[in-house]
Amino acid sequence: MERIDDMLERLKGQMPVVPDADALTDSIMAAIEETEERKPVTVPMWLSVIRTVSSVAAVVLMLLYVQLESETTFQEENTETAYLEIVSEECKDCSPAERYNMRIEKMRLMNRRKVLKEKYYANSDF
Amino acid sequence: MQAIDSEIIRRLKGGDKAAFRFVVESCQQMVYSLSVKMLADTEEARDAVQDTFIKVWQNIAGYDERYSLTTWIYTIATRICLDRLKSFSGRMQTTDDAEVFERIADDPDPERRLLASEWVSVIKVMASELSEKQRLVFTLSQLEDLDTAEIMEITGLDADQIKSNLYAAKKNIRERLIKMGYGKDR
Repeated sequence: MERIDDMLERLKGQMPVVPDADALTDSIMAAIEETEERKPVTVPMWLSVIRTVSSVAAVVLMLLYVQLESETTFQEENTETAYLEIVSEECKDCSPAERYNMRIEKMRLMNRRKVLKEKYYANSDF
Repeated sequence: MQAIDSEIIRRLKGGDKAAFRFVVESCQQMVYSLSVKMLADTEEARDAVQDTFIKVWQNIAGYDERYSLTTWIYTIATRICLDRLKSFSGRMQTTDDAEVFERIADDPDPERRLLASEWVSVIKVMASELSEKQRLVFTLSQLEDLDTAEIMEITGLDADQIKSNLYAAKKNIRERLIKMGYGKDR
């Protein structure tokens, strides 16, 4: 047992010498330079705040647009359905010729609306 | 090891590379010693030293000056070595290691400083069957000769855990060396 204790005592506090210590120091300094170069550019606080606010505003505007679009389509669909109902209500006692004329009038109006809608979208930025 | 005064630490925190170089030159021997003893591989140890100082440079702003800089560096080095131990599996003992160990054990000059490669063989022979915690405590306490308070700061273990891990490590090493025939005086 003494031999083992002697061995442990002998190793106590001994330090293995760094082979080529200067080269190791230089490689550490070079590694630091390298990590410095790769460091991402830090964005100023005010810029990141503006970026966040404008992102939120963009999302809100998009949502508003989608909501308005869906409301418009719904209204148009409603108008068309109501018109058809009126036509069929009014034409209960109509002659076939009158019904034909009303249907033609309805189609004309619908086409007109379609043309106006296309023109609107062509002139707008969307 | 040269003392690192508060002026150097202040400059280091300000990003002064000359101050950092001074710290590297002062402490790399200490980190290399710990790494060789923990990893039992000279190349892995060099890489661990490099990783340690990169971490020191990157995290110097978070260094609490109430504690010693060397203890803080030791803590970083210890974590890096433990991480490397998990992935590195090239520490199998060879017959050469046993021969080197025998030569050192029989060396009549007890003052002779061991080379890094000799340390690798000694560690492989003695500590290859220790658990990570036992190895860490044995290295810091027995081989690096640090006091318990410092080991507690570095490892986060309490005094009882340090004592029990050191006892288990020494017991394991003794049994291993007795099996190899080192139990009696020759």
